[in-house]
Amino acid sequence: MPRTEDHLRDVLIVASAILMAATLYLTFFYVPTDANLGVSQRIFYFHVPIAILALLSVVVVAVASGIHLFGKGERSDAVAYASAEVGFVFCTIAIVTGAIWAKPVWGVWWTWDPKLTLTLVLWFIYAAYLMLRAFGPKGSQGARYGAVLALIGAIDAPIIYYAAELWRSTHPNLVIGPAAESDALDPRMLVTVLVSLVAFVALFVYLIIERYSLKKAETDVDEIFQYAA
Amino acid sequence: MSTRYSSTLRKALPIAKSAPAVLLGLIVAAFLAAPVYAGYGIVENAVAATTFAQATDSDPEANLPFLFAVYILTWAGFFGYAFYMSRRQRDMRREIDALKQLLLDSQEQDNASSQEESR
Repeated sequence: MPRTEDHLRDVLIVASAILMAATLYLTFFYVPTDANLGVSQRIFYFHVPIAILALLSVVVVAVASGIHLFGKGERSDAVAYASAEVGFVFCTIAIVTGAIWAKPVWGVWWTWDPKLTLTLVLWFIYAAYLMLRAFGPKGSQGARYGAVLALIGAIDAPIIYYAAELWRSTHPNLVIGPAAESDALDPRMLVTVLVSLVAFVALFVYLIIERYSLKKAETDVDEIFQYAA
Repeated sequence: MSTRYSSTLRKALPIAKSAPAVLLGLIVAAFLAAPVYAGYGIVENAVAATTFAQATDSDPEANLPFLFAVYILTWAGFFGYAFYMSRRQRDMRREIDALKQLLLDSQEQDNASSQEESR
């Protein structure tokens, strides 16, 4: 493992820990309480960055899969796999935290709202990808099947992002990203959500690097075992 | 020419085999997404949601347990994943130890056979 990668991992985990502490401080002591939703609105500072990264992750999987499919790079396949696994974790947490937010606000844990339903579809896409890689054909064939699934699955990400704009939806409007209105959030709320986003991005990149190096090592050990046998 | 066709067929066969699984996945996805294009189940919930939010508005701290549940579950999720990764690393270390043992055994066998040959 190159030293720069080790340093990067150290920097990312320390930055993530410091920024998480800052996020907690901002969430509980700095940001004002929402007039309509009350305390439960503070869930937003965890839920939104996690949901954004769940969407971003499938794009990373698709890009890395495309590179693997057309460029035949083994490293890009490991990046795709690592990103899919981390994305699955983020997507699961986004769905769970969303359900906990929905209960006090909507009165139900789950509703078949377009955004929620499409996020569940994304969760199934991640699950299908990981199951295909675990139980499907091994080696380059399995990687190719996974790459095709990832490329098709990534179409879901922009649809989820614009779902509240495209269909009638109970889900709150977009507050961050290209389609969000400029004054959608109070400046203090915006600062808090951006700090939280940076903290989770650092954690996300750290987890992907960690999983990537583990996946590479697993592949190497498998190859040596096959050679020895 | 025929060799090229047969290799293409060989490559296409596993894809065809996985077609039922892909089809099943698409059907499940279409079933799950059905309410999206049908657009039902939203208005009723929206009404219920507004009523519920207004009912709980009177006590601003009423939803604190939900807030704590989110933070606890989020961190439990990430720690769970970190634990899973550490287990995988431990398994890999065991495999590397097994590989080392395999190499040592083969080296010992090589040494023993070379000693016999020299005698």
